[in-house]
Amino acid sequence: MRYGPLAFAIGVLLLATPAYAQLGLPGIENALMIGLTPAHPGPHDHVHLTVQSSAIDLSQSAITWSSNGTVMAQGMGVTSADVVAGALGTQTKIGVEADAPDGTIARAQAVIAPTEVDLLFEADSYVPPFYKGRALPSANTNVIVQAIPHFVNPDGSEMAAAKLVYTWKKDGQVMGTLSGTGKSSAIIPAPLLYGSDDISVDVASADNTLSGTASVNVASVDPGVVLYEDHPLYGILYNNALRASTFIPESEMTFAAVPYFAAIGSPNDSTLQYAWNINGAAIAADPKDPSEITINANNSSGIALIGLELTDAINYFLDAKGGWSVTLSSVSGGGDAFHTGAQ
Amino acid sequence: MQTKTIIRYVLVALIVLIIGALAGWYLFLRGQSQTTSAQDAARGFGASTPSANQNGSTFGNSQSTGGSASGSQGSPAQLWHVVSTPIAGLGFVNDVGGQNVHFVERSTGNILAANPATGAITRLTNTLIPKVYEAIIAPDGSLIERSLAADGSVASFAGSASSTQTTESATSSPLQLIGTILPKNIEEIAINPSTDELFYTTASAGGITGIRSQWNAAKQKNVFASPLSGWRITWLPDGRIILLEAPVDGISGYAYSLKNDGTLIPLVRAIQGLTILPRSKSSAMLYGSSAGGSITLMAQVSASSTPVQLPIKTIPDKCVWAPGAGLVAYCAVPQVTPAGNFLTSWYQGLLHTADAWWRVDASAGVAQEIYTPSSSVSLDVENPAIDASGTHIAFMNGADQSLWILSLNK
Repeated sequence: MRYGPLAFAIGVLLLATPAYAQLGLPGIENALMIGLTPAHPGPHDHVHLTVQSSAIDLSQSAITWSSNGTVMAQGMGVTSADVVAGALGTQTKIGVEADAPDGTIARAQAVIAPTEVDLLFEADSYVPPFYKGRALPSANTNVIVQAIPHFVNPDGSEMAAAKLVYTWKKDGQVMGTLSGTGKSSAIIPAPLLYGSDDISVDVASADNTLSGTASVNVASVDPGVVLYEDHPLYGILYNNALRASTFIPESEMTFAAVPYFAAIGSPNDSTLQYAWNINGAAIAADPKDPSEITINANNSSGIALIGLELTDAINYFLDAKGGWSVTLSSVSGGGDAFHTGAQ
Repeated sequence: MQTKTIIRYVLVALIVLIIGALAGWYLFLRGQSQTTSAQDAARGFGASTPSANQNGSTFGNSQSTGGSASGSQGSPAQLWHVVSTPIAGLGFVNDVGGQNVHFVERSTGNILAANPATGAITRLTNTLIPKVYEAIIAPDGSLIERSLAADGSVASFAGSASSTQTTESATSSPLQLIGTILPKNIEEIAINPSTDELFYTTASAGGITGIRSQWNAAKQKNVFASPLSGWRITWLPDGRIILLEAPVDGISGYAYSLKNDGTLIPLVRAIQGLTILPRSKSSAMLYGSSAGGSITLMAQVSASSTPVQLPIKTIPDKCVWAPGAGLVAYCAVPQVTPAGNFLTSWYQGLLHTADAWWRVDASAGVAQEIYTPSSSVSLDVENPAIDASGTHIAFMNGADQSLWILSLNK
């Protein structure tokens, strides 16, 4: 998982100040470029600054770095410096001046105005009611991504997210229809089974003085089926999934299958196909409630091996299987067949 | 003569056959009836109504471990197994005579009160709300009960029981739970502990809407919107609403404080498997991370301080801040550190832990074990709550949803 940390913004004002060039080519005083690492620093980030020039031999030049007018580094060939970005809403003005051996003086400036962009996501896949975790993407689901920018003006006010410009990308490719002013969220088809996508967003103010970026790697998971007891008094006991092997002190029990992260709206969606079997014998699912099965151990003994294969008539990527060994408390043992019934 | 004799024999034989058939039919029906009755009884049919008994059926499930036995009256042991049947939620309530633990029976929706000092359990309401999956209880006794309707939608009910009825008023009878049915399909809901105001999220076009309303759902005001539906809500006594992106192992999560104008102020950003326990009237918090098969717990004592990793492996869901000025928390810590994707497995009920209780001094960044259950007791702590005096912690055992109370003074 890779997260573009924060975003940031820089108004990189690489506008060279008019220098008093004594020698050299016209415009050479503008021949400096400042680079920042990270490119989009957040508040209080350590920023590594470098200066480059294609016209001046910087290794032979006296270079002076300043931050908000205060010299922070200087010397012959000092082509890098470090600075700590300020808080949200602040600006750090970086200046660099190179005095070449031939007397040419070149300058460049940059402004570091930190911002943050949070990139959140979830999927529209199925999770049961009251589930405290996140719905994860699987094949044929959609990923919902939301960018939450924190762009603060010098007066402390925060720019409204609706007024910022968003450029959404998937694996580096701009998604034009999803991008634009105020488009702080997007709905993107989930990666195919076992695949992953890099989703990123560039955010900028309308005047482009503040900008930031964030990214996230979104991977598809394989939906799984978890089996719970559907108790007549308590309902589905989501707190206690059936283990691979379970003893149950009841003679009859209803089990509910929950297909976590599947591309469905409900466990009883009409497209789902539940293939139940008990001890190898296929059991027809109840058309009204196919996600549940009831086992009665009256006059039976031994272990019930519950098997389930869940497929989807229109989503060929869904093929979830599960097997559980259940020992029910038999009222009067002797028989060898478990009775099943639909709820 | 012979003809008459034959007729007599035939008639006698017929009568005997008819009597025999009737007797057989009677025995067959009685057997079927007994089977049906047994099955119905197993499902709870015919059980006496809760109102018939001041203490109710749950009372008989009370147990204590690790010390003296408890009864209807008398100080419970340090670890008190209040009820062994599943409950839907709990909370300390300021009743007359002191703080009691109010809890909701999962099967009936009835509210009961457990007195940690005396061990008394009292049924407060007898209004049936079957199969309550989740209950949230405010300090004044108001509560939310959430269940599933027949059509699969989530039903939420905001109600209150008289807070004047406690174990001190032993002669009073259970009351009717009075309240309001809230809108359907509320995703998450929280109560303002100070004012009983509600904040809940509900599906809307393009995501969810966060709504503040009065207790009876009146004066609804939209204060938040998001295309994401997976938000967990904490409403602190100081009035702050904390929103946590639904957590998942190994994927970054974010937590925010929601301002009145709907803007989100970041509290914790881009922490994998983020869970959080903010502290009221303070910027201190505990937050946890779950990634790479490992869980860590961090303490941050102020907004500007550097978070400190605590020497215990647990998640904030198993912790509770102690009252008072000191930054002290109590955490249930798995005695065997779980491996793998702990959050997802735990939330899905696929694993349960066996916890011991630790005292955490967040300021010093240290933790000390204070209580370990006996080997015969396995407690997977969830929904912990602490009383105003900081002497008792009530919690549910995630394995069976039963209610426990730990005394910190013994």
